[in-house]
Amino acid sequence: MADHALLPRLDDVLANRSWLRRDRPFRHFVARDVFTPDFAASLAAQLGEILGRGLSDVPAQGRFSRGMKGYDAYGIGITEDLPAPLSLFISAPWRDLMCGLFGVEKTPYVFAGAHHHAPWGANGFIHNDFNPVWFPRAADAEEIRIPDMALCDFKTGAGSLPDAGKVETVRGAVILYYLLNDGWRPGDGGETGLFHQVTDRHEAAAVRCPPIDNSIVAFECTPQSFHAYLANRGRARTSIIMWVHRGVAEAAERHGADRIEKWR
Amino acid sequence: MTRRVCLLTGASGTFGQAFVRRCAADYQIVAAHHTTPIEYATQDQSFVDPLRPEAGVAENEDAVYSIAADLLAPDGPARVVAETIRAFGRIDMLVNAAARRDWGPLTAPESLDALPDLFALNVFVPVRLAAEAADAYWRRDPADNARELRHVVNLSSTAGHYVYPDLGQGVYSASKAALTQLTYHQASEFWNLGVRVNAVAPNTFPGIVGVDDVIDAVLAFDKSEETGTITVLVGPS
Repeated sequence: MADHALLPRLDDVLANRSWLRRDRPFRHFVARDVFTPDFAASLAAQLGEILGRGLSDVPAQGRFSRGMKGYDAYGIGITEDLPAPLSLFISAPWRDLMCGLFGVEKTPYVFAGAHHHAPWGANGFIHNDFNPVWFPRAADAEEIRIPDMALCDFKTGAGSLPDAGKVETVRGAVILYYLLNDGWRPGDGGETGLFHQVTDRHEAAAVRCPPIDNSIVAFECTPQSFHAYLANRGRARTSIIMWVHRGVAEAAERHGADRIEKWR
Repeated sequence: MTRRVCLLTGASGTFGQAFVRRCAADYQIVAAHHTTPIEYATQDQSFVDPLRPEAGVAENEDAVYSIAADLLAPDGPARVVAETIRAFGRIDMLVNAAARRDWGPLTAPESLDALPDLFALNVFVPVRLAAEAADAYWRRDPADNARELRHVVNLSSTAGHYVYPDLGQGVYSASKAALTQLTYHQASEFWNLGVRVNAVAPNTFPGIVGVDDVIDAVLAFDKSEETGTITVLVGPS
């Protein structure tokens, strides 16, 4: 497990305590200058070192790799062997912040990673992230658990674990933190688009969240939380993404079991 | 003390966002923007402390009034002015900051295609907004306008004063030169309404000129009795 004792207190690294809540096209939060300059720089340095190992077009341990079906990006998971500061995103305090912000049931189950879009990347598909995710069952409520594909597939639950050893959850809320995009200007693309309908055209995004360094966009994952990556032009785009997960019962009660988006 | 009502266009742009953040406590800002929402508390948006979501946040006390509008629509300026008067009963300061910056060669099809909307937004809209404000409010009491130092600030550019060659600024430069010239005429024609009209013409901001310097120049007009003045901000020599 990552040594979370090495993580600073959120109070000490959160520079912006005024996140802006908007309700259109669905409830979301945006904020700039989120972390202190030093902490933001340390995140960028750690992720920049990983980026510097090179991009792989096939799954490759410890490197940004292609592997997300239908998504023109390289990704890497934030795992328990990664030290601070990146481990902040799979820490209990960060989980608590996300659950508290959205009133989502607090569970041990989180998933974080980083995405990197090379220049001239394509639009992502419009989707709501209201998906089921399987985890190895946590030993107790205080533990933090991330997916483990070696034990059970996060999309299907298939694997070596018995039924009692795994748990199905539903994505509860998501946050994107932008970094390593220095010099971004309007017109460069690479924003996160928020949409009214899944059938909207990418050009018709109701809100375009720019990938400005040290800024975030966050929202609860619901049947209406339609969003997509918007194509970038001559500039790469990098972000950290983190989800908290809720129980299936809570997701069903709030939004309807029939609205949970099965993986395709 | 009642805050002065400032109608600001281009509120989601670089200048507009900075002006809102800096001046929301001192002015009742009516923030007119097109499709990009502003990043500040409004009647529809509020700040939340992510570590204490149930607690209040001080910046919400200075929420601005946001109007999403297409100023190029035939009724765009009239609608924005009418909604401002309906909400706050007056306009003390009109800041015309909405602008397009299409740069390209004068013979390029995209430059020629951009001509109508660029001139419409950069030149015609400031004229129309001031005219609408005059008709909807300022004509009622010129003496009161003069007492209250009501005024218009047009955000022009040094591109309207100087030629920066080979940057594709021809059309943009012409629009800003037009806006500067119109400022002088507006100052003359609005004199009898008791309303002053001035302009700030900065060089590239942020970058060569600080955004705060542009805001300072706009606010300076709010505290003065000048009219027909163009404050040119070239930047450090």
